[in-house]
Amino acid sequence: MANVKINGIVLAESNMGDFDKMLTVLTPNVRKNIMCSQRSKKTQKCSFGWYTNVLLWRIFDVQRSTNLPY
Amino acid sequence: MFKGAQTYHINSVEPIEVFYNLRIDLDKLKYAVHINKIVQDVTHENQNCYRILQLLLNTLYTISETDKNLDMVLGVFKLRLLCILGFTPQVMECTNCKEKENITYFSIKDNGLKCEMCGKQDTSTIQIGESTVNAIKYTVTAPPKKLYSFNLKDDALEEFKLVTKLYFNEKLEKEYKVEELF
Repeated sequence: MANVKINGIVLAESNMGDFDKMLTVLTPNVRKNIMCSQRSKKTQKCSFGWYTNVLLWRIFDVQRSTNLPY
Repeated sequence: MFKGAQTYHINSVEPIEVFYNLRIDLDKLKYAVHINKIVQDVTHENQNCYRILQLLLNTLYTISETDKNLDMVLGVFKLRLLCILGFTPQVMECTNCKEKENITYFSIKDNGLKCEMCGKQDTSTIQIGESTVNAIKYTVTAPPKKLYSFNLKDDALEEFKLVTKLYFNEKLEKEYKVEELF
């Protein structure tokens, strides 16, 4: 898993189930859909929940699942 | 919905610019949301859109931090976005006869300015004043960082709004309206 830092602005957000949301992020290179976990556990609130609001220009620390070599 | 190699998860987020003034002024928020909706419509997954992002951020900054007329900002945004998308109007000469003087019409059908003679023969033209012509030329040719550094008087602003609105709706084949909040 490689961590990548990217700048981006959230164009849209939509809730996926109870704990996740899907963000549509416009980055300097491409437009991406990113899964964001709103809470890490059922009882624990996500610390960066507010920062995923629409129309904020911000840095995302994104974890990308890399392809397997074979 | 998620491909293995295409799925991203966020570990942490850090704000750079929150455009706070958008959140305390309903009029500014209304225009920012409208612009956001347009950008959502014209961009696609995995498409390179650096210039659109630059335009969006400059526009949000202008709406948030300055007191420029919001209709003018929206008009400039729409026209510039069309230029990025490949619908740049021909602004240096008449689209029909190539004359450079006496430009007084904007043709929606022929994508550009027209002289008085050619404009009268075209049914899709709008008559505009010299200020509006200059505003359209500036919007098309200005560098991105100086895009919003001009002002328009009331009558020229009305013409500019009308031209950009009609041209934008015609080219994107959709009726865009600023949603009224109340």
